[in-house]
Amino acid sequence: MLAKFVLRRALAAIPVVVGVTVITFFLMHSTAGSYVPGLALNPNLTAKDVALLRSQLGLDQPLWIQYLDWTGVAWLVERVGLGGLLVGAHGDATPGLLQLSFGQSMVDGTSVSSQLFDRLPNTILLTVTAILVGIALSIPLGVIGAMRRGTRVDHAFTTVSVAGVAVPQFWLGLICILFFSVRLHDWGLPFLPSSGIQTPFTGGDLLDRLAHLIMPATVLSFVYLAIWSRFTRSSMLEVLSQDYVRTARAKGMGDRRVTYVHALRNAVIPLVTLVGLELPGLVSGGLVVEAVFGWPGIGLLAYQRALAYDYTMVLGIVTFAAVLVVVGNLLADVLYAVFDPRIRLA
Amino acid sequence: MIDQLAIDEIQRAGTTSAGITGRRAKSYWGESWERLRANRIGMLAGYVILFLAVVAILAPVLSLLVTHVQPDRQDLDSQFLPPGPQHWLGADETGRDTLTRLVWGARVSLGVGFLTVTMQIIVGGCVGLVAGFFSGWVDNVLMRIVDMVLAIPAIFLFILMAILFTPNALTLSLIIASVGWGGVARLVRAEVLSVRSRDFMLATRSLGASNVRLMGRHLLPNVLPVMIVAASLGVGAIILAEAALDFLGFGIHPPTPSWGNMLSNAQTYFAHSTWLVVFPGVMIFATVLAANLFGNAVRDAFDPRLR
Amino acid sequence: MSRNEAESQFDRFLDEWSRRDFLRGMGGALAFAAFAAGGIEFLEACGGNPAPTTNTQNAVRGGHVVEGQISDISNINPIFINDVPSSLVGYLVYSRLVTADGKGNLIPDLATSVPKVDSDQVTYKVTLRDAKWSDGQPITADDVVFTYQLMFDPKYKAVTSRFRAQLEQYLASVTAIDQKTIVFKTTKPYAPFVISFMNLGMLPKHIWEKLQPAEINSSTMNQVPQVGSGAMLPVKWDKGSQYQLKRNDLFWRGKPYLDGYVTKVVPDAVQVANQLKTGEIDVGNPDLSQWDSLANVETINRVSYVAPSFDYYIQNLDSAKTPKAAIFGDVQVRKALLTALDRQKVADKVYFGLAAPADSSVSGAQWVHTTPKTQYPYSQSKAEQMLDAAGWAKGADGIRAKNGVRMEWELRTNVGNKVRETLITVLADQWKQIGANVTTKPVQFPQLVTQLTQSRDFEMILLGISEGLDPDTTQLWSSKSIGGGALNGAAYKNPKVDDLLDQAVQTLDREKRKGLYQQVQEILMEDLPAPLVTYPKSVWGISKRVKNFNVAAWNGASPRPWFKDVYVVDGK
Repeated sequence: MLAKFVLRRALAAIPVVVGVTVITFFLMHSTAGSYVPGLALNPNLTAKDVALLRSQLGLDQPLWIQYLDWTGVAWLVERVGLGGLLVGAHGDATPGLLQLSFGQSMVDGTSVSSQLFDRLPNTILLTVTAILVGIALSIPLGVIGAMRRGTRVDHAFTTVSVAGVAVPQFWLGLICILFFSVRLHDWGLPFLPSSGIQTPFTGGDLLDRLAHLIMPATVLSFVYLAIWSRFTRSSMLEVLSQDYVRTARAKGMGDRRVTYVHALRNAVIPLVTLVGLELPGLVSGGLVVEAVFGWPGIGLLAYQRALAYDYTMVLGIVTFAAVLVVVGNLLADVLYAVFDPRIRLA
Repeated sequence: MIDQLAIDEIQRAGTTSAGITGRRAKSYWGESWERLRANRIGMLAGYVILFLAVVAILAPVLSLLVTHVQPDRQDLDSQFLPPGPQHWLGADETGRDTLTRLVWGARVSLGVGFLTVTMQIIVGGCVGLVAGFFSGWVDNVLMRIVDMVLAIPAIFLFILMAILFTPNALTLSLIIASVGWGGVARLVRAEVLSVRSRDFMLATRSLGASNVRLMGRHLLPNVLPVMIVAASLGVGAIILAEAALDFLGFGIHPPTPSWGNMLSNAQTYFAHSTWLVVFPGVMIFATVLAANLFGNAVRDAFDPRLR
Repeated sequence: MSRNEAESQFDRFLDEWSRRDFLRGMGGALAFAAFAAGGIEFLEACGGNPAPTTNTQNAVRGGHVVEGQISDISNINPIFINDVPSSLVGYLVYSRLVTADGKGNLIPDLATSVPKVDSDQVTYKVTLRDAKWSDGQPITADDVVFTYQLMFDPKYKAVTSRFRAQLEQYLASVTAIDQKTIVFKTTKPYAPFVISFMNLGMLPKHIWEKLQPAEINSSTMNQVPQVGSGAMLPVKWDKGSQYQLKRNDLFWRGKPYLDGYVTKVVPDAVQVANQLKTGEIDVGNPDLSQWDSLANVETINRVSYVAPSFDYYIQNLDSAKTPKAAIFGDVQVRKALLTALDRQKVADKVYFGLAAPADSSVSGAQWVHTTPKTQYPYSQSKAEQMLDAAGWAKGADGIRAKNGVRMEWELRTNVGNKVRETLITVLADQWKQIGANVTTKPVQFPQLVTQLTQSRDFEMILLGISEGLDPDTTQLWSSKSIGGGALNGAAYKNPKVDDLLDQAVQTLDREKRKGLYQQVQEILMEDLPAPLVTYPKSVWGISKRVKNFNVAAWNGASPRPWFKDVYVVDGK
């Protein structure tokens, strides 16, 4: 039964992935199609140069041919000898998505996967740290709020968590830079670096990298903070009213022990599912923070290359992120099915 | 984002839909209203939004009678004037009056917020209703489309769509709505699935009610609370999304004022003209906060599961 | 100073300045006397803007410099280079045959002297100096021939160099006569040849010939080559973050003082200013709006100069593409529109004083620049009179109209450039004062380029141009350059201008060329198809611990022939 369920879900995921490639491809290309990515407005460049480059990048082929090229279908078609069907194509097809190749950047010729996988760890580092910071801050905020329910402390914490989500992220980031970098430096105090992942030449050690990481990760964590702290609070409240807690107290266990050891553990476990919900969005969530802090992740890369109409790079990153989401959801569904037999039968 | 907020709270609050008594709609709504009214903070937040909406609508009146300038009137000699008698909230980099722009900017920011949310609710609601009601291949196809849209990270979709054309308020609403309707569809569909198995639905159908009547007259009112909650929580997120898009260069451009573009433009001048950053920032903060608080209050009042 | 010291300094002075016309006229002895008498200022005054000087008397060896850049390098291979950061690093890694000094004069790099054309007007002979690649191999004529073949030989057609079409048109052959001599033959007399095509970095044949042509496009050596010939050599490229270089001990100009150099990617120009203040970077181009705030920072020197660039607006004159051509078609209207612009105020307020109002169709940094007799000083009333006289009467709503055509259009520029985005709103406002209803719309840069160069479906566009070393402006003003990717978006057609531009490109005599381009400038100031608005300045913040960082009009980001003498006072 489980196998059938997994298979059904996996098959359902395939049209989603195909649909994603179609949507992203045609969105990206249905713009002014005669622009050659990467060319600056150069008074020395002639029309012939531009036309030649367009042709070399394959941008003068019909759109459906370009789509088949990019997805790797054209490569397959040529392998089986049906290349004649590809009316309007010129040159040999190169490996595409089906052959697990994202192609070359149209701006600088680097391979898309080299850029993607070189910069992916930076994004993962940022979002995972933000999640950890979010958890680290949410638990105390939620637990203390629950325990002091209805008091001013509770209201203050609720306000802080709700407020954290009410300010634009870029604004929060820029304010932090202005204060923790520029102001602190002006006052002669130790200050946090304002952009990048490490200091050139003298940096690279753990402390330096942490110093660069802490501001962007904290700013990013505010998004999670609002939801998780309130969730932890209500979860804690629910747990505290459970029978087994009352039993423990009746047995004479100290209040602190009851709270911090038993109740807390049970209150926090559901938080895990919430954290799990964030995992598919791991690679894209930090784009604005990456832009503000110059954090060299793939969100920032996608944004910059989108501005330059670097088709292959943008399509590669977006498709990669979307596939991660689909696979992540698939895994989550499977895991739920493993634990809850009712779902398998649905 | 905020859709998550709605989903997780609802999921946590009660995992089974069985056991909820199907009360008559009338007293349910009436009772919910009273619960809402009892929540003072929520009502205050609601009034703030209402006030801002009224001010936004009356923007031309303000220009005419109060500040006597249009939001795009430039005066290079007044560049960066601090708040004072001539410009109550100061002037920006081309000498335009900040107060006037804030008020006209409310039109754009709130307008985008409400319009987008309305579109999301309508489209997402319809899709969710139809998918949940008909099940079968209709459900499959619709949900696969929703999956596709939701699989592409929202910010990437924004960027892809916004590089197509420079958005004005209307097209920007369309762009943001086209990303967000998926979450609403899923929510509504889940709600429909739980409601349609209730006794009163079976009863009405056996009495011979048509599909449309079932959907519109009986399903919809029961699904509406979820949609209202999603709407009120969504407005804040959309205003923030508009600001983020302005920062990235994809949103509304001057001279049309929006709080988002006023804020991101002013960042450059933070050091010497801090008020240019403070005022739009405060407006965004207050509005989003109010929208979130009101949304929470609505959910607390209307969500049938929190009884 | 002693005579010997003075002589060596003077040699270096000449090296850096090349034998300019006025020096020749003065006579070398006289020039030296002036120099020895401390008259650098005098000579500089003769030559125009004062050039920064190099002083290595107290130079300290060691240390590194961090420079902030808004964007990362993309491809530093000379045959592919297309953006500023890549050009900056590219020049540091690869020496060229000739390069340029701060004033735009050619100076020899790998060539022993700037090549002069033979009497047949198509042959150039280049002699290489003794220099080595960083792996010890000598730089030979074979390397030069190989580099050019990559760009124009049919065997390498798969290589996507942006110079191919031009070289195929102008280069007839390139041959190595012996180990140190190369002969170039052009297809016809072409004045920009040396400036445009010998100003390229050379590639080491013994490294690159091992690759298949198609492999060259995607080789990682395009970003991090193993072998170079410039002042610095690549160490590491952290994508999106920084590019690290180290000293090249085999550099032919001599061992650089710095140990290392990094270009660090900074999110935007405002952050460049912030990081200059905190010391996270040593050099950078701060945002114009931060210029004043850097004045009192003790650790920073500010440098600004008129750059070879301009901001201008293009009016679409092609009635087949837009009905608004009916507005712009009348030259009196175009003159009135320019007269209505208070360009000085714009320079003061929109550029924060860091620009000069334009007075011609080339920037002040070009040697062919002249101030045409016809000028259009700001006068709102005069503009209104001109429009009235041209038959554009104001309607009841204050907007002018003529023959049923209302004076309204859309002005576009590119998203992302704050100055230009503000500029279009200001220009629109100034035109509104004279009865034109102008709406503004920022558009993404690639789309704007397409609208200007391909589809030409626009009404008016505001853009900035960075000029090339050669004053040839065929791409901007010739009727050959309409559509198809070329820059004459206005569809301006003037046979006289076409003729002058054609002649000038084939005229190898510098003075004659200058005369021809000056005629072009005079005509353009009469016709105003695309009037220039401002000459923006280039602004730099340079840490006081960095010495000899001599950026100038044509030595800004690239090329930097003075780089080897840069040092840091603390040696760190």
